[in-house]
Amino acid sequence: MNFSKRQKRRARGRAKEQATLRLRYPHHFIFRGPSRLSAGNPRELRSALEFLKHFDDLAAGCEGAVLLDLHDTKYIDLTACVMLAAAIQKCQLGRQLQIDVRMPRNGSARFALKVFGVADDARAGDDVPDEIVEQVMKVTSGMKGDPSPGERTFEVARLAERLDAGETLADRVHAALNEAADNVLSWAYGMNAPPNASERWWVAGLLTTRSATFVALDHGAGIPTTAPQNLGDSLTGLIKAMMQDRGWRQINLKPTDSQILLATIHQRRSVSGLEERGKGLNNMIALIDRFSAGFINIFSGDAVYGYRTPAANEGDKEHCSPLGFNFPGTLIVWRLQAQAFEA
Amino acid sequence: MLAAMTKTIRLATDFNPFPFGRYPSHGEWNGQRFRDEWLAPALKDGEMVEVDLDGARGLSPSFLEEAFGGLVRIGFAAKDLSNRLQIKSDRDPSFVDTIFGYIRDAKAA
Repeated sequence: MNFSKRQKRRARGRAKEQATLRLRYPHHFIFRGPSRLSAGNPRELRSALEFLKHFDDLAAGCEGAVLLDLHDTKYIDLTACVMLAAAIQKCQLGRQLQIDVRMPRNGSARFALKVFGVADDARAGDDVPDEIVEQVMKVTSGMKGDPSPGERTFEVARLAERLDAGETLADRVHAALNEAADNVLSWAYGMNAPPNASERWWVAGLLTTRSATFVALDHGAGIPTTAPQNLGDSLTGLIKAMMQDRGWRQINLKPTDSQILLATIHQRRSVSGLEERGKGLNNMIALIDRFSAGFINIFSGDAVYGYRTPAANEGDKEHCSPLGFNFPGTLIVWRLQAQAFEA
Repeated sequence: MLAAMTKTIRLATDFNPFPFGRYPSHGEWNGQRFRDEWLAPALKDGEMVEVDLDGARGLSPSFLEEAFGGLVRIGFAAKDLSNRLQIKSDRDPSFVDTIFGYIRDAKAA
């Protein structure tokens, strides 16, 4: 096979770089990251999940330190930052692994990792300006047994207030996220399970001039698994009713993950009458309509639920469909757009 | 006849400005703790109780339902609570109806 001079030069450069890296990190297991790490659509989400699963599997077999080499990563978005931070923290807490990150050479990707607190950038002069710090909620996590999770999620209210939403609306944003975190602690990892440092929830946020975006993640059993156990007959009844109304088909005589997810969101209250379980998601969805625009995407199991206002052209505000792969846990991406900035 | 004394509980200062969760496993400042250590003792004293919510941030349905709806589950009568409990929430008055809704809908254990 003939290689061009350019290809040969590039291969030599790569080999030299690898040798330098090996000299610099002689005892690390080096794991190379992808050029793009994003959850902007289901295809990219699947790629990001596959990368993180691969990273987790390899880290599980390591005894020494791991170097996550993101030098050639050119793009990373907020959701991927949360997923990456969660994967790193899970390895650190669950397996006591030392994980170092080689920062991207791409300035935007490096900045995203630094600003969301995924990894430190040792480069001089890369300090994050105060005005940027005020627009960002770093990836924050919590677990069962934490003394004051509400104080951590208060950072969310801080961002929503800056969206010119006012204190009351910002408080409702904070409350909805608290409720979602409460649901994770109650259900995602088992109600009676003792606290486990690697069984956590993660949240992060970003404020721009027009909108605030929040991302929440857990690695629990997922809503399609936990909801039927917790909501019982009332959910089963609702699914049956929705099957008749919407002409849904069952697969192997069982409702699909997307049918369960949609029914759970439509289920306002449990039959016991003593809970408001599941209200966190409903509150998040209801708040979207209080703003001039916004959306929520919920990925859990083999299901993706979306609600968008205003609705896309000739589309419904709400949709729920199979994801085509299994999302381990639940990922919520929630965006609110302030009226004050509407043109 | 003496007018009933009113005891005021300020959620943000007497309890915590960031209440969170339903049960103790959810965090130190959970709804069950507020109910058992603040609300129920005050109500057992036979006084009128005013709960001032202003200043507390991010009050979630789980916290409020366990704190107030939970009173019915531990033996307080919903009718008695509607007579003796006052909720002050100037910043978000919708909490008043929400909380009395939780009390009304809660089922005694």
